Amino acid sequence: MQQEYGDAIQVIFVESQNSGYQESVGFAMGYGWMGTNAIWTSDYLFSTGSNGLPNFALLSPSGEVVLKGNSNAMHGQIEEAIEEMIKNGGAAPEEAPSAVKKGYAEFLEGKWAKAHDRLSKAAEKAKTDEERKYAEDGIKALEDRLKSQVKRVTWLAENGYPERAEELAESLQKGSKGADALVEQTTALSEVLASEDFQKELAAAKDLNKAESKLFEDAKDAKAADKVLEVVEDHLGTKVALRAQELAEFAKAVPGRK
Amino acid sequence: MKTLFAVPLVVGALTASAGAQAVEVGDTPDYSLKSAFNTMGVSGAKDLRGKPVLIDFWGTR
Repeated sequence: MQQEYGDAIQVIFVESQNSGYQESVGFAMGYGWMGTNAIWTSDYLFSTGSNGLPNFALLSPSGEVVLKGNSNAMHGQIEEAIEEMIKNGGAAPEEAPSAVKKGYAEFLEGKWAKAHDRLSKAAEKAKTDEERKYAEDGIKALEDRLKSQVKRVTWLAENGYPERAEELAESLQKGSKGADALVEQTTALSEVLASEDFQKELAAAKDLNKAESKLFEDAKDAKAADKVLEVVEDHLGTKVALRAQELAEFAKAVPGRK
Repeated sequence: MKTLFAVPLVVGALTASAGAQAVEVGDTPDYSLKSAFNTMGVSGAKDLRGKPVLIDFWGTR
């Protein structure tokens, strides 16, 4: 499902039989389940009340539980609910005026300046205090989200994902053009991307991407893990090399490794 | 037909915190991710506002 919907949803797989972080990621890697945007953890998040596995909780864009139960038995309902949520465009309150809902949908698509303009106009033209509050809350949600996306660029750059940092930074800058207050936040990102260190990270990432693809195709093949270790040696000192090291450690935990 | 999961999910029993207070439909659980793979900077619930989140509980045994 993560592969099907891409960035429109987030899937989090939670190992719930106390297997431990290393073992559970290695297990998943061994089955070839890696290579999507899904997050894998063995942290305890919360209980759904079900003692059987697999079970799930589906959360709306505003973080509310909308469905829970047995993943296999409710497959169709999960898909329907997700499609409905994606169609409705995101985190705007149900009762918000349509202009505000459009604004939310736009900023979730990365059209920051357009959304900011729409929400600002909605606030100016509001006929009631309630309508104005919806629009102002929307502007605040947009600004908060943009701030968190800017922080995410820095996180990606500092944790060995330079190509994703670059892609996100460029998208933020493009989507903010025309809204001065927003451009201010995104302009500083250019400095991060232009540095010599960042260019070294990009070169390392290119090599790791190739090695990682091979590893995810067949994590049981020790040679695939060796290729990842080569990236560590060839690009020592980079954040990408640290990430490659971690990947190689997980590969050691793959059951049935040749 | 879209497949929910490309993985054969293990059918089994939960061992982690089975007795804890369960979330119900309508609740807004707060959760953090400390040891997690492929987070891309996501540290918990607040970072994921704005998109549907499917949390799937599975097991290795």
